[in-house]
Amino acid sequence: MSVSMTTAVVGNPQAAEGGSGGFEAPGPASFDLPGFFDVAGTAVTKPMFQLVLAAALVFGFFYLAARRAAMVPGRLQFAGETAYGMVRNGLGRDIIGSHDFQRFVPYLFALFFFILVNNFFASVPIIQFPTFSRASMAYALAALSWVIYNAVGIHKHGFLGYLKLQCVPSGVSKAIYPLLIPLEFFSNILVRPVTLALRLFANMFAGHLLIILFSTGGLYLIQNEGVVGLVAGPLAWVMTIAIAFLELLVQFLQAYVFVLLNAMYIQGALADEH
Amino acid sequence: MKEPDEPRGDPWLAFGYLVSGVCLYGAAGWGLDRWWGTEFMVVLGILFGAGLGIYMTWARFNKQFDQQ
Repeated sequence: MSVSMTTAVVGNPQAAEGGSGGFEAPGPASFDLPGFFDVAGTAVTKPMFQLVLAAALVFGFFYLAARRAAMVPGRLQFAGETAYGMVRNGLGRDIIGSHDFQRFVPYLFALFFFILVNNFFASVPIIQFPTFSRASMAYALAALSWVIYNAVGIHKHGFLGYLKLQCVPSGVSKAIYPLLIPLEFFSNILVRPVTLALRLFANMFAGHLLIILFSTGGLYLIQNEGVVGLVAGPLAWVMTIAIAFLELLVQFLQAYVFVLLNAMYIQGALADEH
Repeated sequence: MKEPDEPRGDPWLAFGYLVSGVCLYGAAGWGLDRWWGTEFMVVLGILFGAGLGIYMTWARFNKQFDQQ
């Protein structure tokens, strides 16, 4: 079972033994994994390793796929080119537009597969922990995207021109500009990166929490609730498996949506008028 | 604009506008409450902000449909 699940049970021996405490539902504390070791007072935890592992996996796969580029692609090269083409055309070209999209493809491409692999870690045996269920990791990615789309916009329109583009609404009467300009600024500059991060984090967090809940709950039922538990416990485990498959879909979808919104923000920053 | 029925722009914009409207004008109302010693301005601010957010969403998407 996953490390997080074991900690949920081990850290809570009464629940496993059926003491007076009863079943204690998993919560945010289940995501606080103990560090493997300390570096300068900071614990190095499993999600940190997962970030590095994901980067290595993405790099390794596409390096191998692109190493011997042949006119007639082999199986690996074909897989790599299909994946690349999906992000390049489906996310880059279709959203940003054929004029500007080329220089953003490396970023979008790396971002998509980095998030995808990190999300899939939630379903990989032994690892079984979604890296972005730690909010700080998702906020770091959103901060990066915030810097990029603002920098792109400022580079193209100049600082004031970009502020005007992002903050002055079009299609409304000028009389209510004073009320709407702060709203646009707040919405486009401040709230946007937070919602971007929150969506990824909350989906990964909730999915993993459900899996912990159903698997530890099933164990508790079997151990403590007699005949009823022996029937209901395995049913909870069936639910665990069903949710795990649903999670595969969510993991892909969230990686896709994150990159899709990144592309839309870049497109919005480049637009002449929105 | 490839397909006429394809949504353009960020659909999460609506969420952003509503949250921003409520937070921004709710905070402004709360500030006025503190200043004037009243208790109703924060409510007015939240409702006003939500109204503006809805209006902005409407105006934005309305314009996008016109362009198509």
